[in-house]
Amino acid sequence: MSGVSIENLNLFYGDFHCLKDNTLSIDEKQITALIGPSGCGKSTLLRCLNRMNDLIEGVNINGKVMINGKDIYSRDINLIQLRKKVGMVFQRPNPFPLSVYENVAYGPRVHGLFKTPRGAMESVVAKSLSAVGLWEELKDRLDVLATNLTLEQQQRLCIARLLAVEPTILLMDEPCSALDPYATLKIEELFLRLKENYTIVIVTHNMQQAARVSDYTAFMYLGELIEFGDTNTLFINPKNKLTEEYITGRFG
Amino acid sequence: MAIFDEELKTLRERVLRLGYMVESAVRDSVKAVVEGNDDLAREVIERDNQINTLEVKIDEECIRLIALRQPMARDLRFITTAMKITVDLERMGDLAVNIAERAIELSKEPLLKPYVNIPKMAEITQKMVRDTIEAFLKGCTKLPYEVINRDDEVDELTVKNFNELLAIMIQNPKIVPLAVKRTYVAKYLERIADHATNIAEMVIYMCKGKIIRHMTIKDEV
Repeated sequence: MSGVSIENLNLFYGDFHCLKDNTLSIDEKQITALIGPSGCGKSTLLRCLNRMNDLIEGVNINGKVMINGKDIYSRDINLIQLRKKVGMVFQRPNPFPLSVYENVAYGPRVHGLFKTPRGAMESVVAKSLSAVGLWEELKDRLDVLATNLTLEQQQRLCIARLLAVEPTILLMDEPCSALDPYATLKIEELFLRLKENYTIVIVTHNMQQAARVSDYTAFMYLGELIEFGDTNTLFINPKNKLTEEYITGRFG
Repeated sequence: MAIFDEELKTLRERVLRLGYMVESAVRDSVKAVVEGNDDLAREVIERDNQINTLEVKIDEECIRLIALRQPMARDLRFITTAMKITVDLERMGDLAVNIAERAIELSKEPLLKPYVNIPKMAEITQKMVRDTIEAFLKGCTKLPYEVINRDDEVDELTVKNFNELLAIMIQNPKIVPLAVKRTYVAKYLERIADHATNIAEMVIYMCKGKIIRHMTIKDEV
């Protein structure tokens, strides 16, 4: 099981109460979109799912985030294993200034795959690049510098880099905001394919994107989870007035 | 007001205008039958062109708004409802034309018997048409449910009218062509009431986001 269950999650940045008692359940092998105005806490909530917020000073968290039936905020959790299982992609593609091959091989190598037999790494790289639709394009150019690829290719590569360490959950923080509409559509198609094997949580400002790719959508406002439901219902007939105002562009 | 809200307001006004045009077409067509006024009937037929033109205009506007504004939630439901109810309104306009055509034919014939059922049906049907337009304008009220309930009265009167005329036709086969025309008028009114019911159902969808077509009203309540 690789769904996520968030229970009464509160997060404080110092005195600022950023996430207020968020409770939601993210289904396995589905795409869940988090939407809401800037500063509503959606990226913070996303970053709670692999404890990225731990790195920020003054952050205080209570509540539970259950993954595989285990609270990832319990003391005995192995953070390296957690972040291997719950990978993250950011707004701007951030490949290492290394070759395409080395970008994908980096994770498995850090996690000890170099000890396995010769050829294993090649097959991981091929498999990961294939899964993001880059293999055919790049198989003869694996030694080019990743930063020389197009932005769309770079973002795909960043996703391939995650897949190489065999995660079950993929967190996407505005993954298409640096991409043009065509590249965005291609990445969205990739999400729909990846959903067969991975649980995906995506933060987006683009409501059409949430509507196009997600199965479930959560609308957040001022740290509160205002409405959560299947994407169809949320965009056609939302229950909450705030949700309706936000998605129809009449907010505030 | 935001530009999009202005556009929605314009769309709403156009649908209402179409509704009023259809309502007066129905009213005048029945009046033409009852009063034997073939001038009025011809006027109804001529005016149908305006109804058709406005229907196309509304349709184009809805498609434009969907393409350019990518409406969501209540805006989406409003626009799709506008798009669908104009089809029904336009069909009601056509049926008013059919009534007007029968009015012209009937005006050339002697009066078979005083009109009783048809004015009654017309009264209920016209109120249904008026109320559906008002329901669309006002949104979430009881009005669309009342419209749906009243459809049964029109159906009953259609049957009653038919049976009465049938009895006369059996007694006097010579008046069959005339009586059949009168049953047609009743049937057109009954169809108009059905379209009003469709609109009422779509208005309920617009308000509640719930499709109640092909359900009984009891299921819905």
